[in-house]
Amino acid sequence: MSMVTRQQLSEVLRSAMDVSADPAMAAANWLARDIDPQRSTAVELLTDTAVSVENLRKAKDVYKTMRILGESSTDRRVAARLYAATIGAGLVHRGTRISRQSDAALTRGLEALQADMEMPEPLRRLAEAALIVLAGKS
Amino acid sequence: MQLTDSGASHTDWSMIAQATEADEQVAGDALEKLVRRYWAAVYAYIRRTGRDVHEAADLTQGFVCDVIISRRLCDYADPQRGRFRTLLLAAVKNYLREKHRRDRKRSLELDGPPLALEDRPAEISTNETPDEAFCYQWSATLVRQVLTEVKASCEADGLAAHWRVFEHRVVRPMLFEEPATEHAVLVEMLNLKDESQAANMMITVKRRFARALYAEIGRTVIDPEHVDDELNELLRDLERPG
Repeated sequence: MSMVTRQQLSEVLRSAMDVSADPAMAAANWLARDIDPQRSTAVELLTDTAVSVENLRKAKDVYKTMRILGESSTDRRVAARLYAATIGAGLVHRGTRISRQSDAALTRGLEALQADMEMPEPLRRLAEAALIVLAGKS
Repeated sequence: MQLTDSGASHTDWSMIAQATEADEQVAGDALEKLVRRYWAAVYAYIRRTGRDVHEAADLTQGFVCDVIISRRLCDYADPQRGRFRTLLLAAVKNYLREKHRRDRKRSLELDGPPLALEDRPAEISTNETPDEAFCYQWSATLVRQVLTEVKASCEADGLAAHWRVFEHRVVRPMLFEEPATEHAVLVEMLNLKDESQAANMMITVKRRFARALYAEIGRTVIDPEHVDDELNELLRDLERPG
């Protein structure tokens, strides 16, 4: 234990504080950080246009799993919204569809995200932009 | 490091209260727990004052026997007057000053003039002040204790594989500076469905860790509302530029 640095200790304490700071998004943010340690939150990961398609696919998969295995109903709801957001990010930022979902199913997911006032504003805006892209393609 | 600006008092007051009880068995057990909890932080403080490993260990032991046990330091702890850490740190400083005065007097009496400062053992190579060392060790002790608890609770709840994922992704990189094990390797090693399952298993334990950390700090503050304050205080101390 003596090898652990101040910075590492501080990171582990800060990470634990996420639960208190933003209980609904804590797990989602940890998963985002696990995919890309440079992004501290799910919002950062999904709204940054520079994030790779590979990382968006990873995010889509982990949120898809969390949608089913999430510990609480809040976790599962947030994961469902983020699942839609990752697909939306692929469409908006990379011009790529990273899901085999039908247009109808994807539209429902994005509309649910857009309408969910408990989700962060940048993600709801992302959903709005993705819906426009989707409508333009169909 | 500043340990005194407390609107709240921080300590494990139940343990302190037990340490001052008349029942010797209860008091002894509580004192032992208290000493284990703070030993590393006290030792780190003393070590950073320039003492070598052996002297620092002796002085820490001396402090425990002379001040915590014989002088019943816990009798002076009062939640209204601030953190126990603050009291403890002040007591260590007093103890070292007293010890220095006693040693100096003895040296004058027996061996002539005291050693010049230049003759003292070299400081160990670190930029940490003794107060920073105390805070660092206290945080490290806290994290280690919580990790031990979480590991045990995961094993008891049939989440041993979850713990292994957390260990390889979070604990080992933190404690041993090892690179985090790839999810794909963990899938193979633990026979998991896919990488997403591994990531979500890690989250389960991470949440347990956060809860256990809050519970542990909750035991050291007088009001559960102050847990975040205490964490922020620790972070301020840890992140203070050297």
